[in-house]
Amino acid sequence: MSDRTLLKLALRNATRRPMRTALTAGMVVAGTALLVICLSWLQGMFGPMLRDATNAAGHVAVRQQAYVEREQLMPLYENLPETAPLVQIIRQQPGVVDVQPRIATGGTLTIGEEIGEVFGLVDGASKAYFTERQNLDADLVAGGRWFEDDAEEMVLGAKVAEEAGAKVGDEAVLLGATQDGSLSPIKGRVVGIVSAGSGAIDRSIYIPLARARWMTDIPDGAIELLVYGADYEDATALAATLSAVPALSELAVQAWSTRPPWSQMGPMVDGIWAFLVFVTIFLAALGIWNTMMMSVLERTDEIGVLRAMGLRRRGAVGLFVVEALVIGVVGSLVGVAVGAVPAWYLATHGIELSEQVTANMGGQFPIRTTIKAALDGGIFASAFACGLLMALIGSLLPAIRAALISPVTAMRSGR
Amino acid sequence: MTLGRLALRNMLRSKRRTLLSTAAIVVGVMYLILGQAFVGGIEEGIVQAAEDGMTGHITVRVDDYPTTGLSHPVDDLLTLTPAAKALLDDDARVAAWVERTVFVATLSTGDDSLRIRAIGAGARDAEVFQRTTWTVEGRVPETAEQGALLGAGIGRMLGIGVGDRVILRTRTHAGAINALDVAVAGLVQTGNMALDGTTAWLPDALARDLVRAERPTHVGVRLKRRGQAPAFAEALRAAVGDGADVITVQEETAELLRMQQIRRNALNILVGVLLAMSALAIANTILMAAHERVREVGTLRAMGMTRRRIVALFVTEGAIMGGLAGLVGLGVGGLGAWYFSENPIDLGALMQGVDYGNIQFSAYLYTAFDPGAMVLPFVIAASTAVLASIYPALLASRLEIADAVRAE
Amino acid sequence: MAICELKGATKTYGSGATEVHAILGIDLTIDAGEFTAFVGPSGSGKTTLLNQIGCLDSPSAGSVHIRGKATAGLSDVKLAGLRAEEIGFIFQSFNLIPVLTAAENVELAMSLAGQDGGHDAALALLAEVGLEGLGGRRPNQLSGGQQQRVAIARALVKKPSIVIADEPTANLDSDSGRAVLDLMRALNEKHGTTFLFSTHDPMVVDYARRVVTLRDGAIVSDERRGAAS
Repeated sequence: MSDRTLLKLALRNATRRPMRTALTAGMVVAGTALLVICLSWLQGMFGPMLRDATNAAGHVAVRQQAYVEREQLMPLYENLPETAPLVQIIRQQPGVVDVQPRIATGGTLTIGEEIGEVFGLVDGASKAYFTERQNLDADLVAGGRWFEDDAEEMVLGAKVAEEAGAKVGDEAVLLGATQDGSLSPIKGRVVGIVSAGSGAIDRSIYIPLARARWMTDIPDGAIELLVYGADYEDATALAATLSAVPALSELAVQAWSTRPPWSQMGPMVDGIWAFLVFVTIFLAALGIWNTMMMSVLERTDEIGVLRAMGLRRRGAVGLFVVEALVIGVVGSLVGVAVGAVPAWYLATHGIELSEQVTANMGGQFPIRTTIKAALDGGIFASAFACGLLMALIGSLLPAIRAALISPVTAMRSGR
Repeated sequence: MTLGRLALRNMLRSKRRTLLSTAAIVVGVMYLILGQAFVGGIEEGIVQAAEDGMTGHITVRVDDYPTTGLSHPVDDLLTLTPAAKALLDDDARVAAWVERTVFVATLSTGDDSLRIRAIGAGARDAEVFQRTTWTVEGRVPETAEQGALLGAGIGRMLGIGVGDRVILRTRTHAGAINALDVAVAGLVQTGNMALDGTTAWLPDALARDLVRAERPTHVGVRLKRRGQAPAFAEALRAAVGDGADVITVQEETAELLRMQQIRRNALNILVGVLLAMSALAIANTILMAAHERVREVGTLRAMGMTRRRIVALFVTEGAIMGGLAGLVGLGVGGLGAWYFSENPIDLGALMQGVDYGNIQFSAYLYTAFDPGAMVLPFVIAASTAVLASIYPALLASRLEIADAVRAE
Repeated sequence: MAICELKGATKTYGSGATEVHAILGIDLTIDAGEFTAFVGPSGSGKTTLLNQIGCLDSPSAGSVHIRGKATAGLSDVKLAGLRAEEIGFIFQSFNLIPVLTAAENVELAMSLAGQDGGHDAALALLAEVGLEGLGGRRPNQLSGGQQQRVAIARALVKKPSIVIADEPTANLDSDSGRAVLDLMRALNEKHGTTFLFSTHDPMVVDYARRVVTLRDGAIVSDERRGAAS
């Protein structure tokens, strides 16, 4: 039988019992719609979080091995003493877009005379790191600006500013420590306040790299070099490239995905995705299996006659697989459309989280107060593909059963 | 000869098909029960962590106390009015109450230092903030000489063992800097992830010596039952007067629990779609059954069965299918919920080294096993099946009898 | 005594140009205790006629009276009630409910007729049709002749005025067919139950005491035989 006749027959068969076909397609619709909603939600939740986190922590970070081992304590003495030559070398590597030296430590802020007790995470790096990499100037409260690299200026997170009672224009004293542990104050004028609704950002104090070097007594170095490629998804490859550079061989070169919390979160999130997709495909495939099996049993005589007329086994399989695919295509298309509606609503409206929750989340989880779903072609495409997969898997066993029908038995069973 | 028996036999006629079409119901009910149990368990974990950690059933603290970040100012101290004291001592609802001095200190080993939360705890602290989940290495200090009890996470990070000495530096009530050399009496695994890595417990005398304070910063109250907190807080609020806040554990955890509501909604959407899928599967199965049994239906009608009874026959078949599948889902889900309520998942080990911030949360993820909560999923499953079988049943009941009895 | 009376009974399918009269203006009286065969080629209207008598359908024009009750214009529930009380059916393909045992098939008919005979009454009925000890078997464990006997027992539970047998021997070999016909004849003589057959089988015609021949929806001959063959 020619492929065209086969296709025509499969199409006719699919419309033979319209109600049954519609119900079966309905299961694919429900499955695909669920996938669209869930995938766009997961992407919306973790996408921005990952982007924010990798923008802040670098796609790849280069640090002392000893620093990595005690990362939680932020030991200033495990620093990179000379960063300029390293930056030069890293910039020449393929795939590197930007390198930013950074000093992260802790400090207490004082406005006016009294010794303050307002603690903040001190983030010392270039203006470009904050404005171009993290786009933090977008979160500046009205009336402020970002600091200039060579000035005695600082920008405060909103929580720090609120607790210290600081406003733009105030003179502040930041009390930190040098790398050997002695107390070390620096002065600076508050030129801006950032409010992002995220605990990590709003509890930080942003100062120029030069001031941070002075405060920590690391005159030419930094704690870490944050390396950026074109896309954070490619960080693993970038880390591999950098690891091969001789000048960096003594240092720890880590892609974001291999550092906590993502080294633990990543598998967990992947697990949720995989589980959802698997269960949905499995259930819809069961439904299709059920219907197709019915069709095969019902048409045993017919297949027998076709086989007697010379239809090959492969043709019998094809007949049912094509019928299932027709159901799958229609069901997935409708399902994508149906799922797009709530997903679109979540993408435009989002869900509000309270500040108490986001502000208390750890620094490695920069959650914003509004979580929105993310909708893109990739999600539609993967949901559609999963819909087809449901149909294919579901039709496989019945199709094989159809192929096993021998012409003789089929003819004999006819009344 | 009951309708139910005939429907049951019909359902068992094609076992594979019944199994396939009910799989979605089984999974849906299972999800609903297990999901609800986990969400309920997380909720209970949040409340329990607050109750045993920082809040108790009720906390009294100074006005405008910061609620985010590791921030515990000692600029303002708490003064309990005589009326408040009398209420705490005499009210029958109060099981125990204790004064606490909570402050932020820098704990230093010489090489490394870490900002921690220090809790100066009175003698009755263990009665208010229960320590059933604690595992202590060394001992809980009772006198200033014995030193401090550190969260196990702090010990791990700084490489401190029992018997070592550390320096605690803090800002005093008056605003000066004070530091003391303190012995490590013990290390504690509290079962609350946010406390293990951030908190140290000191005898009250040691804490007040460090911050140079005559009065506490907090009062923690334990009542006979958690549910009494809102009402008792009302009474206490009137007694403490201005300058102090009275917070119940319910108020303290309300925002975190709101996030749980989002989780609940997500679960409901997921289960809703699964139930829709199972409704389609069952409708399909009953439809196939109706097609297959045209002659039988015709015969029953010829024998005098009314249309309504034919509808009832097919709907009963659907109901039995949904009911049995619901039972299986209930069994599997219930078993899972029960298992995880007895054997919690140890998140502490899973998430070691992660900066989970200041969210007070139990390190053990367990389920809330509540048989009462399992009735509704079962009812939903069975009614889904009944609704799904109505349309095919109507189709079957409308057959032309004369043709149907002769159908092949 | 007339148990069934048809006056000008007409059944029409379709309308306008495609209108087809399956039966047209049939006048017929059937008395209690008859043993009658309706014969005629396919499409002659015998099935439609028996559907009318069996209350499966009501006439488009004319009237059908069963024990004096007119079927025209009756609701579905009323027709079902009439069938449950007055009519028993026996089918070419037996039409037993496959998931029920022989006894249960009979019990189901009892409960539909509103009788509380129970299992023992069903077994007694099966014994009467010669199926002692087979009450526990499912239809697929019985031979064709045995299945048709169960169908007869099922048709007789409510002591119907009329049993309509649609080609009862078509799926049986001639020995089984003869045995089934003997059984029906015996029951006819013992209880006075009216049997109406629609058939092509000459053997059934031989057994009948009255033979009504139809062609193109009308009766062309109505022959009564005095004695049984």
